[in-house]
Amino acid sequence: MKFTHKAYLKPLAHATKYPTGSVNGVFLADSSSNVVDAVPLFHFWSALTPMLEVAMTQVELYCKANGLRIIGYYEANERLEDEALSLVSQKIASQIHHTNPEAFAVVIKNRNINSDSVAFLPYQFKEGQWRVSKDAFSEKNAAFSLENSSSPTVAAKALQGGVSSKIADFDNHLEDIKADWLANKAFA
Amino acid sequence: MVNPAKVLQDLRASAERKPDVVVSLGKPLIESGAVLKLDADAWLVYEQVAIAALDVGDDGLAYKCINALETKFPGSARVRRLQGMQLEAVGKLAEAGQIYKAILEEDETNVLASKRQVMLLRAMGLPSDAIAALVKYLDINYTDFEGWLQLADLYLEELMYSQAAFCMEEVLMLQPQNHIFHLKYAEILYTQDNIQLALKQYCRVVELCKDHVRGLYGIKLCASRLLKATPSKDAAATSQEDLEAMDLLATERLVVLYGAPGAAAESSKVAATKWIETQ
Repeated sequence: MKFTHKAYLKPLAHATKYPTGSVNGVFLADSSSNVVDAVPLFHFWSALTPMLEVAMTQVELYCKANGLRIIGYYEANERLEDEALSLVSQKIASQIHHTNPEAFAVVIKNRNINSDSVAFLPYQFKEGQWRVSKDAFSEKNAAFSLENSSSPTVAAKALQGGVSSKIADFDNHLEDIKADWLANKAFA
Repeated sequence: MVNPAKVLQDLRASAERKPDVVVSLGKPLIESGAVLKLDADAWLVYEQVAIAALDVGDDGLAYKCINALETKFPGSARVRRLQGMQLEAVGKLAEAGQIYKAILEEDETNVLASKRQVMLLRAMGLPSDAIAALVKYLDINYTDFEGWLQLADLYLEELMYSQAAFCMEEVLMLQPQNHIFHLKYAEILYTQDNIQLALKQYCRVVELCKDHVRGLYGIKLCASRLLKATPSKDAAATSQEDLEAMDLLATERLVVLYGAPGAAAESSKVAATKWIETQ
C-alpha cells in the first residue's frame, strides 16, 4: 500500500481540525494498490450506525463513478498517546475487510502529526484480530510506504499554515450540504 | 470592530469549545491589563482564558490567569479546580486527582470537582470507573442533563447502546425541545435496530427543525428499510401508507435541497441523488 501525499495529508488535516475529539474516515485506492485518496467521515457519534450506512453507500457510489475502491479505514483517537484501534473502529474496519480482504486500518499517531516522522500506524487483520503492522513505512516492512518520503515534513508545514480548516467530513456535509466531503477539492 | 469582551461573554453563554478564539481574544486583554476594566466579569474572563489556554497548550498564559484568580480568591475551591486542570494538562493526573479528592472531602456536593474527577478517570483510560463515578453523581444531580449526555457518551464508547439510550431518555425528559437530542436518540435507536422508534424520533427532529438534512436522511433510511421488510403486525407500528408518505416527503425535501443551484458540490450532489434513488 503506497500512500500519495493527498492520502497522507487529508486524515491528518481531519484529525487536527478536531483536536479534542476522535475522527474517522476511509482510504480509497485506484486499480493498482496505490492509496490515492482519503474521505473524512465523522468527528462525533462515531459509535452510531445510520449515517455511517449512508456515508459508506455514497462513498461506494463515488468510487464507482471515479474508478476507485475503498481500501482502508483510519481513525485518530481523542487521547494523545492512545494508539489502539478502538472498539468502534475494529467493527467498522472488519466490515470493510469482510468485503475487501486486502483492507487495512490506520490509527493516527497523534504525537507524530507535527513532525518529520510518519504519523500513520497501520493495522492488518490477521488470525481473527486487528494487529499492528510492525515497522511499517521502513525498509523492514514493504507493506506500507509513502510515495513521497518528504510527506510528513510537507504535511506538517501545511497543517501549521492552517490547511485543516479547509477539510470537510460527512458530519460537516450533513450540517451544510455545501461541504465538499467526497472530493475536498481544496486538497486536490 | 470586534468587541472581545462581548465575544468572550457569548462564548461563555453558549459553552462552545473554541479555545483558539478565546486565547486570541483574551490574551491581549489579560497581558495589557485591560481585562480589569471589566469589573466583575474580569474574573470570569480569567477563568475562561485559563481553561482555553490549557486547551491550546499555552501553559504560561494559563499560569498567569490562575495566579491572578488565586490572588483574588485565596483558597477557593473553584480556583483549586483550575489548578487541578493545570496538572491534568501537563500529565500529572494523580496529583490532579488529589486536589479533586481534597475538594470533595471538604464538600462532597462540589459539582465542578465531581465532574473533573469523572473526566480524570476517563483521561486515565479507566472508562468503567468514570462511568461508576458519573452514575453516582447523577444519583444526586439527576436534573443535570449535561451529565446524562456525558454518561451517554461514556456508554457509547463501550458500545453499551441500551444504557446510552436510557441516558438520552433522561436528557429528553429534561430538554424535550432540543432537536439535536432527539437526533442522537434516533441514531442510538437505529444502531440498536429499533427502526420503528428511530423513525419516530427522526420525524420529531424534522418537526422541531424544518428541512433538517440529517433528520431527512434518517427518515428516508428508516422508512425505506421498513417498507422493504415484512409489514409489522404490531398495532403501534406505523402503517404502510404513512411509511410511504414519510418516504415521499423525505425524498422530496432532499431532492429540493440538493437541487437548488450551488447548494452542493457536484460530487456530493451526484452521490446523494443516486443514494436517494437506490434506497
